[in-house]
Amino acid sequence: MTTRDIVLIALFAAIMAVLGVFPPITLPVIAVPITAQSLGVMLAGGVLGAKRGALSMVLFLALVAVGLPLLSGGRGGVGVFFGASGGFLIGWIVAALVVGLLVERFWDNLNYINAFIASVVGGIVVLYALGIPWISVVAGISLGQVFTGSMGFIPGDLVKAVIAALVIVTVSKSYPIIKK
Amino acid sequence: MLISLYKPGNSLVHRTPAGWKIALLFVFCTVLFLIQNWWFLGGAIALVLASYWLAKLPLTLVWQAVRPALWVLVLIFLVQFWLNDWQFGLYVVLRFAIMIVAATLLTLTSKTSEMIEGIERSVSKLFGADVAEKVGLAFSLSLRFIPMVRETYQEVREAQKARGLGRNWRALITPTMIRTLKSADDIAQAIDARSAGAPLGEKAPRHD
Repeated sequence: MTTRDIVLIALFAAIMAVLGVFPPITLPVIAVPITAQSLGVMLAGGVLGAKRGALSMVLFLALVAVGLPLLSGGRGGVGVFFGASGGFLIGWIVAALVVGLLVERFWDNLNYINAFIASVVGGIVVLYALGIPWISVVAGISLGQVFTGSMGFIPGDLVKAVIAALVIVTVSKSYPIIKK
Repeated sequence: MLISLYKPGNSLVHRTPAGWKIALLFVFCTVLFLIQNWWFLGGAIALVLASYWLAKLPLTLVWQAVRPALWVLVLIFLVQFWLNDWQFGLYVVLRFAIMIVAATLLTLTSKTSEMIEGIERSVSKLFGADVAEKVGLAFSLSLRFIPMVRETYQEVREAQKARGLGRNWRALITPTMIRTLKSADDIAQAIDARSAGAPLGEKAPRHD
């Protein structure tokens, strides 16, 4: 790991913090707010690649855990990991990793379509696969019911995957980080 | 924006090392899930509230810890009421709330800087001193980068507003990202140039 890797990881943790200042949207279906921060998760993997993307999420979550109010809505501290979105927060690490792995795989002919697929698979499918069981356990509600309740978030997340794909492809052309 | 949630104090709870508190919190939550019993839950709630009292923290902070999760808790209660009965709903909700309150106590009584030092020490023990040094660098850089990224973002937003793109996420994020990535590369080269020979892992490839 070079100094440049460390600087990039730290930079993305900071970008996540700034995305937290975008106002969150809350849908009256289930209690996980829609934020620009989950867009940042897709971007971390897609811009930095799997390893650095995942580590930038670890660093960001560590900053939250030590008591900085960096999550959207000014939330922070260890308590948030025990809340309903705890599984999603831990899931960010794996989601960034998966988006990164896919974008690295598509790198030589990266376009809007496969960048979108990478964002959907990592940032939605994998993320929900980790977030839903968590809610199910802490709330004592069955997996199927949490799954149905979470469907209201899918449209917002698909919009985010489109934006992520646009940004990932533009950055890959004008300032490529993954293979330089 | 970067004001820590820590509340200064000198109580027993404040003085207990953060590592101990993390371990205790972990045990507390695990046991809460293993033993399902009203008496036990009542004892756990009393224990957590007593710890707030011991830390000389006002009970309004307990309310502040629960408030962001409040309507999740209401929703969970309603679902449980519908699926099972209100007693079980109340049990699940109280158990959930007390875990959040206990975890918040850790945050309220532990200094951010001490927790970062604690992480560095644990990393140093687990993975060696040079990894810990990198982790320390990553922490301090990210804290420095937050105002830098925010400043760049505000400049970009002003410029895009003038073009009528002030609410376009793509038009806001792409330039912010490319500009900050460029500064990140300059900073990485500056660090390497100043710490030549320092034990900070491999150096970035030289550009000469």
